[in-house]
This record gives sequence, C-alpha cells and structure tokens, in this order.
Amino acid sequence: MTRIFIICLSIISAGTAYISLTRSEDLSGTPILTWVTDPNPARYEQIDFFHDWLIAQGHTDENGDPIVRIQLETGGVDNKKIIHGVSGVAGDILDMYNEVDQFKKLGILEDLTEYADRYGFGPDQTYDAIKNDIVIGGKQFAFPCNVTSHACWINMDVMQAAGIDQLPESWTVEAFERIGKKFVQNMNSSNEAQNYFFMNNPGDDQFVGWITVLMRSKGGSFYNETMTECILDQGPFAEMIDLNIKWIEEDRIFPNAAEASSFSASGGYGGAKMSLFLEGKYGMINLGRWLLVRMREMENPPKVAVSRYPYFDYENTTIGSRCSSIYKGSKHKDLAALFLAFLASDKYNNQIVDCADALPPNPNFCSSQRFLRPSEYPNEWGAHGAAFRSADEVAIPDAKSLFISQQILGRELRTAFEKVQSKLSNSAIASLQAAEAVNEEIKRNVSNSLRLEKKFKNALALQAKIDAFKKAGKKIPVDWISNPFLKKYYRSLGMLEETK
Amino acid sequence: MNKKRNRINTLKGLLFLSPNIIGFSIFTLFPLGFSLIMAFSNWNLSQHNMFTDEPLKWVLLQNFKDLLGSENFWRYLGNTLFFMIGIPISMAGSLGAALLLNQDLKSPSKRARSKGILYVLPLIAFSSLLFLGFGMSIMVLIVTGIFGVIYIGGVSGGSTVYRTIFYTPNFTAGVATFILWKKIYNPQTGPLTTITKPILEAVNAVVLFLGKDTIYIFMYVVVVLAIGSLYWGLNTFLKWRSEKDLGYIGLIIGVSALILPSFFVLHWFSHPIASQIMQISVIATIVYFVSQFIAKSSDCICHPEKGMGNAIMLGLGIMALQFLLIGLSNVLYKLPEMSLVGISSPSWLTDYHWAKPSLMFMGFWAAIGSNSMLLYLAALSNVSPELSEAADIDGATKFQKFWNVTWPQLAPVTFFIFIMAVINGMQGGFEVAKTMTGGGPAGSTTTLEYFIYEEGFASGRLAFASAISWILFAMIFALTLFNWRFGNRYVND
Repeated sequence: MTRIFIICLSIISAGTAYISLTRSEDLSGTPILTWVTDPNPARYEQIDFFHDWLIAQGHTDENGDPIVRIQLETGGVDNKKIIHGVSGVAGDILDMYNEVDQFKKLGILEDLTEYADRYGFGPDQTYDAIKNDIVIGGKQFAFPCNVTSHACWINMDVMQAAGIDQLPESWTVEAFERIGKKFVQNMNSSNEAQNYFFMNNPGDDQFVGWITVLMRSKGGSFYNETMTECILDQGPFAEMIDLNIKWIEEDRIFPNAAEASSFSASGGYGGAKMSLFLEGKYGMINLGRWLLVRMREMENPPKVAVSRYPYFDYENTTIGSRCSSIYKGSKHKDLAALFLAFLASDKYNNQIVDCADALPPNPNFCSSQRFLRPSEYPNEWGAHGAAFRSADEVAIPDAKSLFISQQILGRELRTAFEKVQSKLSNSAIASLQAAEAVNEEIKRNVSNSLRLEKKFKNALALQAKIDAFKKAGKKIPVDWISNPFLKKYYRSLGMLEETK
Repeated sequence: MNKKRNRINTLKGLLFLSPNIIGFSIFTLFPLGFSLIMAFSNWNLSQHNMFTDEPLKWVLLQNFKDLLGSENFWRYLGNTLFFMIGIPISMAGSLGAALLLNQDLKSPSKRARSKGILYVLPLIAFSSLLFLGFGMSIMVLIVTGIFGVIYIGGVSGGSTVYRTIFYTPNFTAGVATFILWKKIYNPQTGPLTTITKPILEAVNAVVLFLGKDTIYIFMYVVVVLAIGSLYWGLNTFLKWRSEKDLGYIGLIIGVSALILPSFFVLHWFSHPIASQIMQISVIATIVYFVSQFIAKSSDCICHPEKGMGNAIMLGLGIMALQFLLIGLSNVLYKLPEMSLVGISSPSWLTDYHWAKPSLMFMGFWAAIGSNSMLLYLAALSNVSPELSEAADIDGATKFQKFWNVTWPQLAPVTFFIFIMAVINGMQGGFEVAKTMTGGGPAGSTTTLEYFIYEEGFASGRLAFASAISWILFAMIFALTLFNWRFGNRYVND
C-alpha cells in the first residue's frame, strides 16, 4: 500500500511539474495576456488584428513576432470577474459593461491616465457621453471597445407585411402605441393565439434601459442631483410600470413573460429574443447595433431600420460601452496597455465598423460610407446612420451613484415591476418600496465605509444647497450636479448656471 | 518494539489521510471558521479586498440583527419552508415506488413475456392512431410511445428495469433536468399544457353546467374535509394519549404541525364565509381537544418522548393534506369566475402564485425516485418474512399487514429520510431558482440558499451572507440535534 501511495504521489508530482514547465508562455517566452470578454465570434478576428497591429507598429521581438499574445476567456460573467478580481487571479484585460465605476470601487482597475497619454487612447478619442464612464475622479480607468446606444431595431419586412411602410426615426409614446396596436391587429387577425408582437417583452435584460429612457422623457430620474438618494417614489416610475403593463396586458403590443419564453427559439449570441426578431415574430427589438453580427449570418437577412426609443416630452436614450481595462493585479500592465492603444487605432475602429459589433469607440468613424452604407449589406443602409444619430444627439449616460451598486438598483426596479405585474401591489406602493430598499442599501453602504461616509456627508451638504436654490427658483451651478441626466435636463430647462 | 511499530503505522495512516486532511482543512474547515468570524464584521467585497485600504469594522451582532429584522429574510425562509411542505408527499411517493418496485414483476415464463409484448405493441399502435385522429400533438404521441416502451421493458426485464428508470433523475445532472422541466412547463407548447388543456376545457364545461352555487357546495365540502382531517388527527392523538402511547413532547410537536395550516387560513383563504367557518371550526376543535387533553391528563402519564415519531409523521401528513385541501377550496372558489373567461393552463413559471408550486411539483418527480426510494427498497428487503407469514396466518388484510408489520420496521429509515430531507430542503433551491426562474417572479422562488448567493456575490456583502449562512446552520444544527436526541427513541418505538 505504501508503494502504491508513493507511486501515486510521484505520478501526480511529475504531472504537475510537466504541465507547469510546458505552458506555452514558458516555451515561446512570449507573454500571454488573458482578455476576459464575451463569447462574440468577432473577438477571434480582433485578436488576430491586434497581433498584426503590433507587428505594423514595431512591437516585435527579435524574430519579428508580436511581443505579446492574447488569449480569450469568454465565460467571464460579472460575478465571476469580481470574485476573481478581488482574489488576485483575474485576467489581465477585463471587459466591463457600463460597470467601470463598480470595478473601480472594488479597487481592481489600474489607473490608465499615464498609459493613455503615452499611447494616445485618452477620453478625447471617444464620445463625450462616454467620458463620464471611463474617467472617474479625474483619472482614466478604461477605454471603450465599442459603444452601444439602445434603439428600436426594426424588421422592415415584417412591418411591410403588417401594412406599415415606414416608421419615424423619432417618435412620441403616443405614436409608438398607435403604430404598435395597428401592427398587432394586422399581423394577428387570422390567428387564434397571438404570435406576432410589436416589440420584445420589456421586462427582459434591457428592462432598466427601457424604463430609464421612458422615465427620463417625463423628467424622472432614479436619483437626486447628488445621487445620495433614490427618488423612484417621486418620479414617474410608477406611471411607467403601469404603462408597460398596459402595453403587455391590454394593448398586447409586447408579449408577456410567459409568451416570450414559450416561443420555440434557439439561443445563441444575442439570446432567444434576437432569434424571434430575426424570425419575424417581433416587429422590432430594443438592442444595440451589435445585433447585426448575428443577423449577417443569415442567408436572407431582413431589411432593417432604426427608430429611437419613444418619448413623452424630453427625447433621450441610453448610451453605454463595453470598456476594457487593465487588472491591477496583472503582471504585464505595460503590454496590456498596448491592447488599449490598439482599441483607439484606425484598424480596430474600422474592424468594428465592418463587423457591426456595436458602434466604434471613435465617433469620427461613423460618418464614412463604409459605416453608413456597407456594400455587402444593402438591407442595413437605413439603419446605421439613425443608430449613430441616436447615440450622438440624444444619448445620456446612466446615473450611477457612488453609494450603491447599479446591480442592486436594477434588482429593485425589476422586483417592483414584477410585484405590480403579479398584482401583489400597486405601482405607487411598489415604487415606494423600491426607493426605500435602495435608500436603505445606500445607508448601509455608507455606514460601513469611512471613505464613503465622508463623501456622502459632503454630497448631502451640497444637496441641501441645491434644494434651497431650487426652492428659491435660483439657477444651480452646473458643477454641483453629478447626476448626468439631471445635468442635461436642467440645462435644457435653463435651470443651470454654467461654469465660466 | 510493538510501540514503535504502532507509531510507524499511525504515521503511515496519517500520511495516507494527509491529502484529505489538508484539503478539508484548507477548503472546508478554514473557510468555515473564517466565515463565522467575518459574520461579525462589515466585510464587503467592494470595500474590503486586497486592492483597497478601507479598514474592516467589527459590528458584532449587527448583521444578525439586520437579518432578523429584514423582511426579505423571513419571506425567503417562508419560501424555503413552503418547498418543504412537499417532503411528506415525496416520502410517501418514494415509499409507494419502493413498495411497487419491491414486487417481482418479471413474468414467470418467456412465453408469458412474449405474450405481454404482443398485447402491448398493438395497444400502443392503436393509442397512437387514436390520438392522431384527435389531432393530438406529436408530444402526446411521444409520451404514449415512451410509456409503451417502459411497459414493454417492464414486461421483459422485470422490476430491475423500473428501478433503473425510477432512479434515473438522481443520476442526471440537475441543470439538464431543470431545462427539460422548463420545456415541460412551457405555457403554450409544453406537454403539461397540452395534457391539461383538454382536461381544463372539460372542467370548464362542467363548472359552467353546474353553476356557481353547486361549485361552492363542493368548496364547503372541501373545507369540512380540512376541518375533519384536523379533528381526526387530534382525536387520534387523544386516543394514543389515553392509551398511554403518546408523551407530551410528541403531543406538542404533532399538534403544532396539525394546527399550523390554520394560521395560514386567514392569509390564504379567499372566500370570506368559508374562511370564517374554517377559523371558527378550527378554534372550536382546538378548544375542545385542549379541554379533553387537560381533563384526561392525569390518566395519560407516560414517558414524555413516547410515540413521538408516530406523532410527527401523522402530524406532518395531515398538515400536508390540510394545505392541499385549503388550496383546493381556494381553487373551487375561483373556478366559477375563471370559467366565464375560460379556464386555461397557468403560466407555470412566470406567474407569482404558480411558480412555487410548479417547482415543488418538479421536486416530487426528483424526490420520488431518489435515494429515499433506494433506502426504502433496502429497508423493505430487511422486513422479516416470518412476521408477514404470521400476519397472513392471523388473517390480516394487506393494509393491516403493511400498517402493523411493514411500517413499524421501516421506522428507522423513515426517520432518517425525513431528517435528511428537511436538512436538504433547508439548504436547497439555488440551482433550480437560478436555472428556471432567477428567484422570481418578485422573489417568489428565492430560497435562503439563493439569498446567500445574491447577498454574497451580487451585492458583495460577504459578512451579511456569512451571517445568513450561520443562521441557516443553526437551524439545521437544531434539527440534527433533534435527530440525535429523539431519532433512536422513535426507532425503538
């Protein structure tokens, strides 16, 4: 038995030694960076492009090979990234979806300001609306891989089948509802069960974005000016819950959750709802330009167009980005910075333009014919320009409070919606409960952190001043407001005193 | 010399065990102790990790205080306990399956088996044609075919085939079966909807034909049955007590289980009159029996723990039955109204009120063919045949044989299965909620285990998540202590 034990131990030890000695990095001597991102097929091409770019830029070793190589880790869901990050074992380059602030709070992101200056991937290389996301406290922590501004992507073939030849690029909620009703009436007239819907169920993964835009269009915000308090109960959130439930249950322009899950649809990149859109079950879908990646795999893709999200009084949409950043625990930060430099390059921007993986990080690339009218895809010509204009003209970044995770806000918003939908509560009570839950969480977070407590006190003092100015009808100094929506909204109302 | 050899042997033994001891210490013992300590701190991933310099604060019992004062905690504990209501039913199912599978189903001869197959094949073909004629979906035909294949398998292979089939859910990966059930629960194309559709249409027609008043009579009958079951349970306890077969500990636990559903009546009963009848009757029944128990208390002195196992099993069984009857009466109350718009299958997983029962129902399927069934099968094989033969000679009926011979001998296994099911039930629900419902709608399927995950990894509040874990541990530990303390006594009863 002793011998067997020793033999087993020897085999395991030898195997471990063999694996550690034969790792590709050790054999070739070329450092390998891990890029934690999503499973988009375009990532493989982007890696090849990066290696080519390195050679073109002269970042090569004595053999003329790139001085660094990238390997993908595509199973990086947020929680896993966080756990890996705080444990010191995350990949070198981390992709984040509108969560730079959250990751920054964890302390796991490297300050990129110096690298950005050196390699030219500063905030001036991207949209103004995105700067708020990547620069925190005057320091740059990320650079966008692509930019997404959600809009209604329309399957024009299905619309025409419903007798709707054209949809406006910009529309009010009233027009949206009217056209939606017409669509479902015309498409489902001969069916016993309703199989066609104007748009996907709004309670899905785009719920927060959708409700944000509708709320904002009535002047509503999740937070107050300094983002120290959740004001869901004061704004039109309750009204928006009721409206969406009316669209689902009465007007039937959206499927309910059960209907959305009951269609036989394959998953794949973009999920089942994209399959349903491409099959023509949904007249439109609320997503970003990246849906074209999958659409282009079809033999006969539909003709598509883009309309902005509908609005009441104040037209707006969301804008966000998939940003890359360097993990603070990476051993190859200098090399990882080259990858971010590549993201700002012409080669990368053009690759995003060509593969339609959302909008390129640099808006200058969106005015070319290459972007607006891709020769191979004439069915998309009506969409690209409108998608860019939506991002460029009316997009406002999300309000992200320093004192609470966006994930918790999203969870409370969804719970409130589900409570009303399940008839457990009315929208006013559900909104109040959501606001209370979020404020409770803010209070808890602040009391747990000396650093946050100090910032919170300062912000509260500022908020008191803002409230006093509002009450007195005085113009508020623009620098006092950290909520990006309220800043833009107040400016449109002439309530701000601009910094000279 | 011997001492030296012993020491060497001990060292060798420890060396063999060392990988396990080291692994256990590093990956289980240390995190366990660490989480206990951290439960008294304000550890939050976003504030306290290797890249931040925020000092950790000791908050002593604050996390536990917050937790016990949190509405969500009690709600999710309620959800967890709701799923556990199904335990007695699952156990009964496992026992039923074990009893069936304990039969020697194999036909005596090859000829008989061939005959059986010859009967079954045309039957399946005929059923398929019949269903096709009805315009049934392909799913119905598949289900018919599967049943046919299983039947043929049983005829030719005997109970071994059925044992394997029954045990299949247990060695199939959880997530895969959950996805399969998600398809089964598909509210438009799922087989459950397909199967229930004609049944519900028939029910709809019957309800419309009978009218509201008749249906309400049925509802009152069900309410009476619920009260009757409570009465019967209390009466049985009284009888056991007067026969000195039930000590006061068993009595308290059994009666508590029996009257638990009554507390939910106010909350769950939709019909105001039925609700009042139920409450008044329950209170009257309880008052009557309490007075009886007190009046006869001096005549019923026995060991406090005597008959506890039987009391628990009976109490829980009737509790589950009462819950079912209360649910059924609510359904009957709503039926006339529903029939006006047409009764249809619910949205199983996306409806707040149906999501929990749907997951519980799925749990039955998994639990019936689980290890519980295997344990019962093993226990059944140990039931002494002499006792059965003696009972036969005494002219006992099948039920009497089961109740007086088999059931008492299954007591140790039953108690073990029950305790294990309760422990697993308290710790369960994460996989299924994550895969099928995401804890929703509106938190209706969020269990304590899912709550721990959400707090720890979505909110990053690891200290709070540790506190929930330790509260859960305390509850499970209490149950385990209960098992240690009373398990043997029940078995010896």
